[in-house]
Amino acid sequence: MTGQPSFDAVVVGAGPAGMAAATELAARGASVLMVDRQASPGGQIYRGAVEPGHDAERLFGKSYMRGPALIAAFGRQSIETRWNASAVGVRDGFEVDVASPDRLERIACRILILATGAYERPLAIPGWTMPGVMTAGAAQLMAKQSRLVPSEPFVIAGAGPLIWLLAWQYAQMGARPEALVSLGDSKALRRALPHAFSFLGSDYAADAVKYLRTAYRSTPVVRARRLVRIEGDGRPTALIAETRTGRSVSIPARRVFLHNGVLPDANMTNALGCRLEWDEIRHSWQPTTDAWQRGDRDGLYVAGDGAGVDGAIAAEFSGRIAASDALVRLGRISQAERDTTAAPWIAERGRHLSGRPFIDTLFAPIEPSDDPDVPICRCENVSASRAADVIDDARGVGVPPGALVSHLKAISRCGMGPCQARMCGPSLARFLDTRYGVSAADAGKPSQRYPAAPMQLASLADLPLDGEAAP
Amino acid sequence: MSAPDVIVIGGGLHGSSAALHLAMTGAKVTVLEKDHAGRNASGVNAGGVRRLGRDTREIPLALESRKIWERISDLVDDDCDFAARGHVQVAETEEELVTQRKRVTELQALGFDHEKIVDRKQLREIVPAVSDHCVGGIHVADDGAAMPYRTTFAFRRKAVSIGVQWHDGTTAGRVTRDSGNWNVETTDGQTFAAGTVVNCSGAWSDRLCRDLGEPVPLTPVAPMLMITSRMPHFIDPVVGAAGRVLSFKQFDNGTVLIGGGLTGVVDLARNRAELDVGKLTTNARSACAIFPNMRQARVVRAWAGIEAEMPDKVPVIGPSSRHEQLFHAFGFSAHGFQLGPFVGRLMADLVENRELPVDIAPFRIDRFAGCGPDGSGSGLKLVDG
Amino acid sequence: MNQAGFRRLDGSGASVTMTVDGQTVTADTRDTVAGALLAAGIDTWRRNVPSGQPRGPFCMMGVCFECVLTVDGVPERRACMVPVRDGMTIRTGRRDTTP
Repeated sequence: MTGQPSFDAVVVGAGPAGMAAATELAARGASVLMVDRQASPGGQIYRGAVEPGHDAERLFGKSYMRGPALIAAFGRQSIETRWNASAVGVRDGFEVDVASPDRLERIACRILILATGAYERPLAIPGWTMPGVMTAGAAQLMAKQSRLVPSEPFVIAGAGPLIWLLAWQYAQMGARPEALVSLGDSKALRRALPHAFSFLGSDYAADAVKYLRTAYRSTPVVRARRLVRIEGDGRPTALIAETRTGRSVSIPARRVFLHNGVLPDANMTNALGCRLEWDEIRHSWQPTTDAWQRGDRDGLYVAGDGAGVDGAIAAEFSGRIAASDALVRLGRISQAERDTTAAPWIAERGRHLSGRPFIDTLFAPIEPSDDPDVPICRCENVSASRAADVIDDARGVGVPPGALVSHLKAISRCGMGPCQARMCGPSLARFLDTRYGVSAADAGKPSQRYPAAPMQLASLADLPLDGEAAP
Repeated sequence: MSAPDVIVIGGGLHGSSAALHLAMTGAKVTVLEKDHAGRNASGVNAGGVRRLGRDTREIPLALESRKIWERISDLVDDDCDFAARGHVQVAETEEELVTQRKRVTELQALGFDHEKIVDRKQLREIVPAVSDHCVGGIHVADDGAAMPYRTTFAFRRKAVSIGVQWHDGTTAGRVTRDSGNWNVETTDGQTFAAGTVVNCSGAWSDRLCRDLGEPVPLTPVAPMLMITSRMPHFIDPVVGAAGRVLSFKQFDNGTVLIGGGLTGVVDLARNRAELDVGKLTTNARSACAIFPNMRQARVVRAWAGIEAEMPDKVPVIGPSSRHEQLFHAFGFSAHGFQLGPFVGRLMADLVENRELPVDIAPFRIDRFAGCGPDGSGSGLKLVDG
Repeated sequence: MNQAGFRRLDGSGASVTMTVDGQTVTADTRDTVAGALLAAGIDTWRRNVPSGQPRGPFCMMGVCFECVLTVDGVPERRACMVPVRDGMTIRTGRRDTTP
């Protein structure tokens, strides 16, 4: 298309991986376009770090302060940006469709770096769709963005390091939950033990001790084996949990922050037709990447948590590593220069990968609720029992395992909503596995289509066709 | 298990409808489906159940099929989400309206009166949200729409419940005939034998036809569709436009489906259909031109399916021109959904050598004289009929 | 509006004023629209269509789509990603029960 905007590289995602990659590319003279759905850089982990405030380190920890430095370095480069924008489609070549709230642009590039980050695995329990129920990450984002903390009784519940981190951060803010409900089974520690040595040597270990100590000191910790339900009528009134000894406890709360681990947001990679592999330990679909973060298309890179949840620092280095290889592809540096420059980054990334296996094994995802009325799909309000009826019918007729997800989608609309199966996909995979013995690998990755995020029909209509002048 | 009487190759809507109707008359039927029912064109089309705008050769079949749709629950124990709220083909200019009047007159002369001309005022009574510039159109009051995947699955489910043997993930390979029996070898090493074969393999039909000595100029195409997020209810009938490739409807759940047949790119090797985003723009422009309120609509998903197109845009239906006990139904050229229920009955009639209630001579497989051995032939010459 | 479910840790930065379904809502310049509404005691501003249930923001990061509303005439903006601006006009789906 004549007059089509064209860049050496398009980077999707302005979290640590994306910012680091874009910065490295631009510093070597590559033309770079950064696309992010948020209004400013930082992704989720460094939300609010554009203007961190004098209290940021005290409230969020030392590691948060990498954010402002990354953002400043990013800002010093000459990088074109599209905020509140989504890359809604990609074609080989590459041609990237970027949808901003009021327009669609078709952008050519030679290098595409997907740094789309991660999101929290949904925890579908009765009452989880009530207003007032949010994710633990949402709590952090509100604090980082706006210094907002709950003013009513609240509870933090789930499994994963984030609940301990949030409790510690809230303690710094003087916000005290009614309880911290930690889900797990007694065998978890035994399972994770083989990885304990590398964990103990990692940065996580010191932080873990700090968070655990603060949490136990400042809030009642309930060790639970099941979250039974959130009670309430329009807003939560209490969280009911079953302790490890089988007792039922009711924790009064007007707000509930749930957490069930973190998954790569692989929708874009999937939409491109790239291979995803099911990771049984992490219970998530992972794009396949090599040591240089290359995906399975020439010129495509997948970096950061979007390639596998390894944390913010590993993400930053994976972005730099991807950029260094991309610079070779662009002819701006030689392979020898790449190897020399990237060597310390590769070492740093490796250092920050140790400790993850312990965490991944210790904090296994929570088993799905067996309540039939729980909505698995929020967008279309498809309950577990509805899903079961449709799947029973399909299996009874002989629909093969690999077709069950698309069958359920077509019949019940599960997965057809605007979230593009981000909320229901992981729960559905678990549901198929535990209830029908259909493993996630056999059920197959969810199908992903254009556009990767909803976009205005007018934007599509207003795009110039071949031969037309750009508006 | 004893050998089937009939092997149906292809388990989409036409294959499952054929299998069902054959089984209803007592035949032992085996269906070989390379993916699963509804995986391809049958499951992802716009679901239009229309007689409006059809080639006159198809109209008798469409009229018969519409009668089945009226009682679709009786046939397949599922209402398929069928609803009849009408179809309208909008004319944007006086010239288009003149052409439409001419067509309706011709149809009436042939004895078909389902299509009615509507003027500016009547058009707005039926479709209040239509753009000011539209001058009239053709209306069929009880055309409708259904859910394609649900429908295809319902046919399959009913067929299986009355004894049809169904094999998903089973691709027919070599098909040979010896001593009055057909042998179908599958790519996973099985062999199925039966007296009769019915070929309903959609966009993949041409390979089989070529191997059996009756090549057809079939083109796999990838019609595209888009769907929006929910909008307040503003339209009842399905709407097309005389001068544009457009099909436009709003579901009960408020989402709006935009299609009409603009095509993407078929990747048969990967069993994928890719979108042509430039043509999505054309489609978006058409939708917004006819319904200005659609500019604010949000597209949440677009897709394309793999369909078979014939050069004269009507299907192949009927017996093989080269072999006994081989019958074809394919090439529905992006408008086969409505015909599925009746074509299945036709296939059963053909197999059982019954008199047909409609004329299928226009759909003969050998109408493509001048076609090369590989199905090519730009100088398409139609044989009478 | 309820008693606000969130409080601000610090005396706010500069404030902005928006109109939400005709009512005035004050926000902090750091806020997103979703954060501002939550801080103003508005916990839900749309209904899920198949069920009619009220829904509120869940993820605050743009993946759940529970926080959508209309900003300055543009519908279906995810409120959790829209920075507040003085004079912004917001319309929500609080009273909508039909698609």
